[in-house]
Amino acid sequence: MGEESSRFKGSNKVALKIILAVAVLICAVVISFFIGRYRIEPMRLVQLLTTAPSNWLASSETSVFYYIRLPRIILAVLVGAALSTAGALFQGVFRNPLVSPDILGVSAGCCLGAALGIVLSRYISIPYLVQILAFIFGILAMILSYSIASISRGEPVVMLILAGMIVGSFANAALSFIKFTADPYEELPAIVFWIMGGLYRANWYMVLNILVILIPSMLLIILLSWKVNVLSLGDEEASSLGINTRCFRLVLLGFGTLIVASCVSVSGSIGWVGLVIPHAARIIVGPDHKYSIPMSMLIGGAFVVLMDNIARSLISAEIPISILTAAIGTPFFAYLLIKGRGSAWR
Amino acid sequence: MVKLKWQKWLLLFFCIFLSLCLFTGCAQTQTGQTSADTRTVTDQAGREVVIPAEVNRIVTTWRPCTFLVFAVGGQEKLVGVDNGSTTAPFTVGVYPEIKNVTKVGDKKSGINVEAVVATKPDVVCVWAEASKGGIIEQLETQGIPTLVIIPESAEEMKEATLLLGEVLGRTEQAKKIIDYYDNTIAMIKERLKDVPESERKRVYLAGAYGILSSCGSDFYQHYLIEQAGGINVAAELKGGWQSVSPEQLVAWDPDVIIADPYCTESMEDALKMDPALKALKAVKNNQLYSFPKIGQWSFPIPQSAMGILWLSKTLYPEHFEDLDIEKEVNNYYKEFFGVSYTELGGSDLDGRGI
Repeated sequence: MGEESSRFKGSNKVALKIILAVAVLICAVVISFFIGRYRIEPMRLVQLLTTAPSNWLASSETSVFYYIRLPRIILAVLVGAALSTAGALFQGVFRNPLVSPDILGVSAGCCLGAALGIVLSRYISIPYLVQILAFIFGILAMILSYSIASISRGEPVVMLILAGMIVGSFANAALSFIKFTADPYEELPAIVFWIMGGLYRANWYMVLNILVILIPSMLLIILLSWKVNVLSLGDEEASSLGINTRCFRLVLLGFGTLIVASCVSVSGSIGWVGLVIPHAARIIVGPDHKYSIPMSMLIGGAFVVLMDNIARSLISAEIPISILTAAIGTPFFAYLLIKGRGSAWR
Repeated sequence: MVKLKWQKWLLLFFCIFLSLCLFTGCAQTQTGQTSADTRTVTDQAGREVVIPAEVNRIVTTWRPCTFLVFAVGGQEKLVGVDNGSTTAPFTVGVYPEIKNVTKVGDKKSGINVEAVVATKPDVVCVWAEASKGGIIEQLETQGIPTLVIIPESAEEMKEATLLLGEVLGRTEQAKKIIDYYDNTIAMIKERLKDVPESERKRVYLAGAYGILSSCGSDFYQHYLIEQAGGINVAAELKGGWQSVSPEQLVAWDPDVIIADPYCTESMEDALKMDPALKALKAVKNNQLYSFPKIGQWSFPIPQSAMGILWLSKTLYPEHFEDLDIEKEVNNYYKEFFGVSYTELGGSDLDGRGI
């Protein structure tokens, strides 16, 4: 009984931390409303918040807020939350703290698809061709990695990592080839620029589209997160607990890939988030995926939206967000490491 | 029980977002206002754009376009420019106030749309691929007219200059600077008409990635070499700046090696010290020159007329003995920009670097 009550107390503490993280995220979003290069008086902005959608284009204050700033803030939260969730998920499934969401070659596939889209858009004109191709190629990369790993007869997790490396390197080679042959005036800078990543493209159309994919996928991952605990015990033990490891691994990786591909296809690859945030989450709530995955989601969203605030408002020009996530994320990570004494890794 | 708690929170959180987003689906798109004080121009992507009759505030988003605005004399109307142009020697020399103009980003790091809107521009100029990044759509939602400018080939560059001249009410200067460009090229052609193909100088242009890089026929630099009466040995390359192997350079054995303004590697070090390259014809005859750096003459802009002129004089000095390049360039800059090239800090017309 004593054990029972201490466990209960422990999870109560975790619940408190999660509620705190929700509060931090909401604060981060609200602060972001007031930040931007287009000056809107804070009092005026509070009034603007109640504007009916039909009046959003009535003045330049509302159109800047509702059509530039707000979609961007939402996209930042979504991308940050999704990348961190995927990172936490993949680190659990692969039982490796150095894994990032692009382990299966998904990001590389997305970049290849985007580059192809940029080159092809000269011949075919389909709106959002770049984003669509990026998404398709990201998914294709994962399918290819998974197939290679399934066909080979080795330890499944190791095979997956190797297959992901193979597919990622191949996609990178193909990308370099496209860059090599691209038109140097427009296409090449566009490809380089796209790959660097950023949230400046945000509009409602994109936000809505990725929401449709992200919400069900992320909810599902959270609902299945206890299975990640079992998977992270290793295949043999998981099987002995009656879990079909192959099946659950495929489902989890499939949804993880889905959210990474949809994020990368709208924002390019944003480095470090998917690697660092899950660690931070583990240090805060411990290694149980039931808590560390939702925690990653919350701090990931808050982190990226805050970094993007700097990217879009520190100077009048745009700062590439990957520079910020790495430059500010890494010292923060080092601090957590020192403070946590590596305790989150059993 | 605890599990339920955070799940509820999450659901609530996402429901708020979802409803927010659904709201926007109902939002109307802006109807463009038409009034007497607007006019319609066709940009280089073939789009019809309604702009104010008098454009007094313009934003350019990448360097060659900023230079085009300078070429037509519209620099005082710039309220936002690409990142590099607030410190470039040419722009600062001609128009010192440029230092205080808002930087809005560039092709490489992206455009800060909110910063562009904050400058309250009448017109924004963007590059051709910007529509794929959603920049044009974002600006149009804000009711800001957006012109696609494509100065790549000589023809497109002239078109771009005339378009910007029309937009900024500087048609006269645009025509004048284009005439000067055409006349310069015609003059060079006339002087070199008796040079047979076999005696044309074979030129290697060392590019942005060091001496062992060059560009092929799809770059404006190739056109510069051709108009100056030279032959680009690297014409077969594709895709902008490409690496060249030392063996390939020896095989081409060009008559003259020119370092592009972007080339930061010293020709002394790279060519004269390298035993393999020392034997090149151009190195032995000391036919190594650096392209003047101040005016960005290798950009697709009307000012490149000076680049072509300088290059032809460098390649065929015997045909241009009467031409004082320094005087010519200084007059050109005085006429179109009010400041002479020497005053801008240009002392590299001898082609031996600054």
